[in-house]
Amino acid sequence: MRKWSLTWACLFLFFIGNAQNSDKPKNVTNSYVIQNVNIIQKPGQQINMGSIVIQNGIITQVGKSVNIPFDAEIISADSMFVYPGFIDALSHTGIPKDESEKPRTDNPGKPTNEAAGIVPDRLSSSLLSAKSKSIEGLRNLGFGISHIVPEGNMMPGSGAIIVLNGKSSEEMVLKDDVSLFGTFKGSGRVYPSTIIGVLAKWKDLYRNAEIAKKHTESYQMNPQGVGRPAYDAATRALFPVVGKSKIIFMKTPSLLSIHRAMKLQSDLGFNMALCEVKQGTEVIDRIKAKNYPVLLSIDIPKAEKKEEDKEAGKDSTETKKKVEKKKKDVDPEMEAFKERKNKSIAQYIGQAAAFEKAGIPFSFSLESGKSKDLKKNLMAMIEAGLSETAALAALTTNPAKLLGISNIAGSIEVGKMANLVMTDKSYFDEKSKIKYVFVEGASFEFKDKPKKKKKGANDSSTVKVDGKWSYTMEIPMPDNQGVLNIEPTGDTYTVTLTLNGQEDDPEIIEDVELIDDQMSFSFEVTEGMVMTVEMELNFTEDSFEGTVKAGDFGTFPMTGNRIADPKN
Amino acid sequence: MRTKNIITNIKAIYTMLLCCIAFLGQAQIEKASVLIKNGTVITITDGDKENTDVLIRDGKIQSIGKGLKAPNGAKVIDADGMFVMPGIIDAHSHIGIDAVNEATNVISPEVATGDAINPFAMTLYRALAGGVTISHAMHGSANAIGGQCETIKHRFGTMDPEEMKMEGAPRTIKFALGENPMRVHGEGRNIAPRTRMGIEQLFRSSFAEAQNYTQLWNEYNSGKTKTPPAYDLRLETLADIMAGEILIHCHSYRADEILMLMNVLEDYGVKNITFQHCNEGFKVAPELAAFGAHASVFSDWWAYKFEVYYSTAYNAAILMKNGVVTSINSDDRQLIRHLYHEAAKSQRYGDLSDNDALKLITINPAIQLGIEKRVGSIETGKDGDIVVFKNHPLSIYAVPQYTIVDGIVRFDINEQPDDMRIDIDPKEAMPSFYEDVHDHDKCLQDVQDFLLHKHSHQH
Repeated sequence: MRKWSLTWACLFLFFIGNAQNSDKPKNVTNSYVIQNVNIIQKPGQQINMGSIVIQNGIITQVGKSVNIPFDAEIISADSMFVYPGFIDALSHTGIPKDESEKPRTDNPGKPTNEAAGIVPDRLSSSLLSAKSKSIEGLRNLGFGISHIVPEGNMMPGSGAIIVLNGKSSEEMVLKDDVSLFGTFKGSGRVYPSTIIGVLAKWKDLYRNAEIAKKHTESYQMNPQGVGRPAYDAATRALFPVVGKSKIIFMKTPSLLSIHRAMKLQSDLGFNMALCEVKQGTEVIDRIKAKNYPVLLSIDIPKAEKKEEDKEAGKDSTETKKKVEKKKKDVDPEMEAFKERKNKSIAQYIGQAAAFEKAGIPFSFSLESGKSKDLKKNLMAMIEAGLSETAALAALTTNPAKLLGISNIAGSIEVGKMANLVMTDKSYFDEKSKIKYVFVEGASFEFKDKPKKKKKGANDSSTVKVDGKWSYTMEIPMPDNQGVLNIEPTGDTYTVTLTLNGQEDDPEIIEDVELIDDQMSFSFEVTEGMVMTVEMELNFTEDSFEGTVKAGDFGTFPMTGNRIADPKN
Repeated sequence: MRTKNIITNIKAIYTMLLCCIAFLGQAQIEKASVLIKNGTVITITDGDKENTDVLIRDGKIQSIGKGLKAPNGAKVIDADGMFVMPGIIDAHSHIGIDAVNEATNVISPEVATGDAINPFAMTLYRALAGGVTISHAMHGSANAIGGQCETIKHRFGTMDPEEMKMEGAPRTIKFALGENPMRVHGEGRNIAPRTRMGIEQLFRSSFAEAQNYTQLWNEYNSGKTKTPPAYDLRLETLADIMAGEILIHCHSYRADEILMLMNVLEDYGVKNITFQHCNEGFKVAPELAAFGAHASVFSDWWAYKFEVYYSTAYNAAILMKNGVVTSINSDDRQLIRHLYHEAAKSQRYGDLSDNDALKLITINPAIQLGIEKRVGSIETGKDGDIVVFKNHPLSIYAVPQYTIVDGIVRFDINEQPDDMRIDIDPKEAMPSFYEDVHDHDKCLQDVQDFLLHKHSHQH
């Protein structure tokens, strides 16, 4: 284990950007007609079996019957469902993680603004990378537009609204410098390092900007007899904030952070949206009274299944005995703790429903958590009482209004940007699948993935993967070769991975997926930090090639050759 | 005559309206009524009264006497055979806050623990179980001029951090002398202060800088110059200290340093100081009394580092007998649960009267926090902060039964469930109930890891 971790840790020194080509849409035309489709124009407004015409990225016709342009590609939707492309109200999509080494500060009490995490002048557009995988990831979930902000400490930078398709960041940016992202995160080793330092610094910067703005304006009017105002990029970037023309999106996941943000806002008076809210139920009345825009997090805790439910279905007497035995062993104190924990979980999941009930419009932010869990988490929220209409509004009309782009996005209407998401069933059907996503008229089609094959008679694999393989990872470090042993176990395979010279310290992986001739699996290494290593290998009879993804460090080529046949 | 009445009425209504408007912006403090019957009432300021009732109405002590009637809906506590005393006040603690030290800068008066209140901290409830209704949630001692502190009422059960603040309590700030700031900044980073001399110089230069800042603003405000100075919350706060708007609470041990700081304050015209810990206070008790300085000490805790070896359990008694307003504090989440024992220890050594011993944990810390008109004794009109003890509070068998804040029973030894947590982490693997059990002194909490390798008690 240790050796493995050190091996990966070495990658820090040899950091290589994770550059991968995103799938480009195959555009042969700029016109599309989607026919026979159930059009959910906006939350609560539906046209059954209608058509949509898209031309040059714009919706040009919507209705029961439309005129088909001569050059249009016809998509026969066959009673699918089409929704406005989703809008992500706040995330870090397309902004690569900042892994540059921070310069050492000699006196931690007087760091540079950058080291302190105070960079309100940093533009998201300057950080956006069109190659980032997260863009494709979000698009695949049905999103067409994202409000992106940089990651960081107390003032990580200003937000931009981007369209989730384009070859370059310039192509993607719809509006730049639209918001300020704010957090209560300290810088750790330099001032402000703690919550008390951060809050003091917020007040200090804000009040200083108020005075500096007045000073600068009066100097511009008449500089005579007035000392020249200092030029400071960070302070200047706060002028529109203190002038109330720019809104602060404050990251407030916890109840305490919401309270702190509300206090700071009422002390200073800026315009604020609460974002990534996870625990807002308790302060719904106050949020409503103050009319704060709210972005609820899609990151919710998993409901814990009861033991009995897990065993349900298995009706053997042995299982029953097991359950009875467990019942006898229960510790009432631990049971009481569990019950309280479950109540807490239910409150997190029920947050969105509670906001809907209180009549507060909200959007969703995807700042933390796995965006992949969007659908699953939405379904959990709906089960907890959220209406589908409100869920859809939180992904479409509400963020469009909040971001000031209602005239071009958020609904399927003539003249708006052709951002659409099409599903085979109602999106809110548990089994629905996304079939098409349109982003500004560019079409992305999703075909069913081949099902996970199991070993045995129906095995679609044309090659036998079991046996011993040597491998080489093309990673910039010395320990990059070893042996891969693949053994069949029951329905699947077990992979034993060793590094050369470290044979006594193998990594054993049991959850292995084999589709056609591609094997994929992952494992975690821990050495001060936890990193997931994912391997995806395509096999032929005597060799394989594929990739190894080492956490956030990057994805690297990996090749191998058969060195021994399976025992049988 | 009639007109006059109308005008008076209009005035009254107007005042009421103004109060309402002022109140709208603030957190609503929950208050209640309770009648505590037939206890031995230890008033602190007016002797002990046997078989006496105390009536708290809407959060305030309304009457003390015999045969009082409970208002409708008020809770009634039968305190027959029990002791009723003012809620205990701890002038030095770090409970109920999410950050203690902003240790990155040796001068950090702009930060405030009031920004980091955590009303869910179980330590607050445990302090209630020790009869403590108010604590002084202090910044730590890493910096020569640390952050502003917050006087909090233990309204455990409320979810809003603002409601924990004792409304109207004066602002306070932490200073620190000696080894802690020298170690964190001098040894740790090789910047000032490396020595005790350096600490003195930091106070002087900070005050001088604040004077300069105030002058710049005065010049701008009076129109003498058209160029506004840059706003600086740090210097603003220092200026407020010099204007006497903030009470100083200074971490201190050695007599020479205590004298040094009094000299510095004298030079800059600053009064209102409480020396915290003040282990060598007994050596300079007359000087402290002459300056009007207060002392908040441990009963018998010392020798956890070099500057704390010369100490005595007679400290509190000597200070008190020299006319210094003295309190016993905890600075510790465990000790805060039995401050009445700590007071009893000072009595045991220093031969204090029962009432003087109890003053150490009631009215005296109230004076040091500037809240003695509101709390610290059982008097009509004061806040309904009360603790009801089984056995005399200075007895080794004393156990708090009820702890009442603003007329609300916040701790009840018999009635409340075991699990009093408010905020439960939905992802917790272990119930957080078991956390916070390990006692670590928090005085140097949040000081960067590399400075804490040599971990020891570092008050």
